[in-house]
Amino acid sequence: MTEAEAIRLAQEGDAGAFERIYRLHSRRVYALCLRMVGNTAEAEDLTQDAFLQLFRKIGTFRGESAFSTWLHRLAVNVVLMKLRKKTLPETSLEESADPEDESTGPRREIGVPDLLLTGSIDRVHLQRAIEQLPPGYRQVFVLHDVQGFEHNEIAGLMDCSIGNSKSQLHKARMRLRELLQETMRDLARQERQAAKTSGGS
Amino acid sequence: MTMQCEQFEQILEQQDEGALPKPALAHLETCEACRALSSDFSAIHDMALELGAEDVAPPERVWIALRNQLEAERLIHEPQDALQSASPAGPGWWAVFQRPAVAGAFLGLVLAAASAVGYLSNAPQSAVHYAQLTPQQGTSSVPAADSVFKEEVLTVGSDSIPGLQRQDIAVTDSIRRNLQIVDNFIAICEKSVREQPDNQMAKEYLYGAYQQKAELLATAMNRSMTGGLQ
Amino acid sequence: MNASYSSPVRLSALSAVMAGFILAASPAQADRIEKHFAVQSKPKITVRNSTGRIQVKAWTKKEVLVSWTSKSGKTAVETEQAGNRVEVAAMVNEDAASADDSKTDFEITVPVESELSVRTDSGNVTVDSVHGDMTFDTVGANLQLSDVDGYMVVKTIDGSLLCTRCSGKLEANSISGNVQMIEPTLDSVRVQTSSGNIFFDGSFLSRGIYIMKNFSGTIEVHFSSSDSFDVNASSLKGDVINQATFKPDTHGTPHPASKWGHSLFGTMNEGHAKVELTSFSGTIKILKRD
Repeated sequence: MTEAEAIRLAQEGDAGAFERIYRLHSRRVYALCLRMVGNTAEAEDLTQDAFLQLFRKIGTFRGESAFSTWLHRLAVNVVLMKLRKKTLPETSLEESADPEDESTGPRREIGVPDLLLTGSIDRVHLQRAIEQLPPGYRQVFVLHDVQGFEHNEIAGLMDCSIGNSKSQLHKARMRLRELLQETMRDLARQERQAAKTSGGS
Repeated sequence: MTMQCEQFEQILEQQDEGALPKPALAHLETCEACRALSSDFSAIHDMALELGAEDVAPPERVWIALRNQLEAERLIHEPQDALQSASPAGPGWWAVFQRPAVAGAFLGLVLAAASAVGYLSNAPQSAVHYAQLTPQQGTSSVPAADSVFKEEVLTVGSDSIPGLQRQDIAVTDSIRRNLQIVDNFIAICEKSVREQPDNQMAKEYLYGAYQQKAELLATAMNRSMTGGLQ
Repeated sequence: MNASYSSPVRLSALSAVMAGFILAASPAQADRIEKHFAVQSKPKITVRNSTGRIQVKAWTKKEVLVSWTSKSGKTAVETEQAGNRVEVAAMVNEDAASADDSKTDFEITVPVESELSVRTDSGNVTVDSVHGDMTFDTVGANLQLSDVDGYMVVKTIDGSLLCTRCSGKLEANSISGNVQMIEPTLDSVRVQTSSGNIFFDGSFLSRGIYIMKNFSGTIEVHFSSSDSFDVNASSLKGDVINQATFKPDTHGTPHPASKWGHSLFGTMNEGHAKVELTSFSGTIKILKRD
């Protein structure tokens, strides 16, 4: 069954077509949700919500854009709506989710030599670092650098200005850089200790 | 006037795509720290793109829950049989409820249980959601609840489940023993609810005990029907 | 007079005959059968058994190895592979007269990242170092899960569950089985038993939810002074024993004073996790880890 056929059949309520669409797109939607919220339980719920909304609205899809783009935007909207609805106590539980923290952002010490990350970081390190970002930074970073949205699109989705989107992205990258540099320093330290231990034995 | 690092950083922040302006490029040639910053940002961006290309499969239960919701909203027109063949997850313990007889028995027990909770606690609102009650059936008559419910549900034990005796003795004994445990809990909870009709926790426990009994009976029926295995 | 066999010869012959009878009468050695299944990543393995041991281990190969022994000839094991799904089922013959007749012991080795579905009536189930979603449905089988990571759903009637160093999420329902969680790093725990005991000795993760409920029996949780959680502990007819120093709940959650039974609620440190302990007539213990 091609995607176009599946969409047509799903619009008529065909169960197999629904499942075909889900199988084709669930991985990408889930990955997006997971990166934006940082935990699997919420990502699963959001994935389910996104597809539920998709299937409720599938009758309105007229092929104006690529189906995957339509679904992608829908998923992002679902995630952002959910994040906006979160009550203060929940969001305040996260480390460095303090609004003050987000507005000033990580500071860069000018003149201090930096560790170069090129060639040193891998996807696992980056994924872990993304999970440690405050929610606002993480959302913009995932949307822009990971998912490829433009700033004007992000501004529309997140109901903020383009300047704000750029500022948040910059702060996210600065914070990620700090986290990844810490990771590199830890790894280097472990290697030195391992070398000492094996040299001494 | 040469660019300072703070100014370079501001340009980096505002830059979206494309090359940096000439003054920024000139600054990069003279400033190691900013070169490192720019290089690190590129490395992070490139790695993030690779991450974005990666897909992560959601667990199968997401599809199962979604499918159930779609069926509940009647967005899907085909029921269980199509889904069973489509689902690669294989039957889990919940598959017992795909057998109409067992599902019906379970639903009947839960409905009766819910109505009995309502009767016992003199709180019809807890039963309305589930049970088909006629308002005249009295909301505070404990003997009426006993006669309605106990007759039909509480006396249902393993003896009335055909085929159970054929199974492994240990399994049969276990089911019987646990039915007795649950029956005992039901009796204790009922007493609590009678004595303290406002006690929400006691009502919840009573309802939970009824549900457990229904599930246990469904398990027993399922095992007797399938010869112990599905 | 004809010569008769001498006594030593008669004895040897008799011994040989006796040995023959003994050999014939002894049960046949249980056959061990192995089957290999090549799989892709995250295969789904389903095991159905009546009674007997089920042992699941992990390895790095992209292969599922199923081996089993069945002492009697009264069970047949069927295996099937459909793509990335492997199904194993022990079918008991009608003429199996006893539990021993229907006993089949399984040893299954799976890729580390695998999904499992196990259904058995009795016999122990052990799973070691598998990462993935798992469901278990047993009557009286005891479960031991070690170093597993995933979404574990456990349903037993009187089988007990011992979860050691488990990560992910756990949902467990039992009527009379006990549930023990040792050194878990679970971010969601929903455990309910009727007459079984519940024991939790591990970390309460930030934003984790820990709901433990029983009817009678003991619920015992251990904490350390660095843990951060909100707690709501209630026992209608039993006691709540507490060694923690809690602050009043800091999240504004209303806790109307309960006139029924014993209740305790409060916040430890910042209250990053949520802990709910409920019992009808059992004892709830919140104890400090040494």
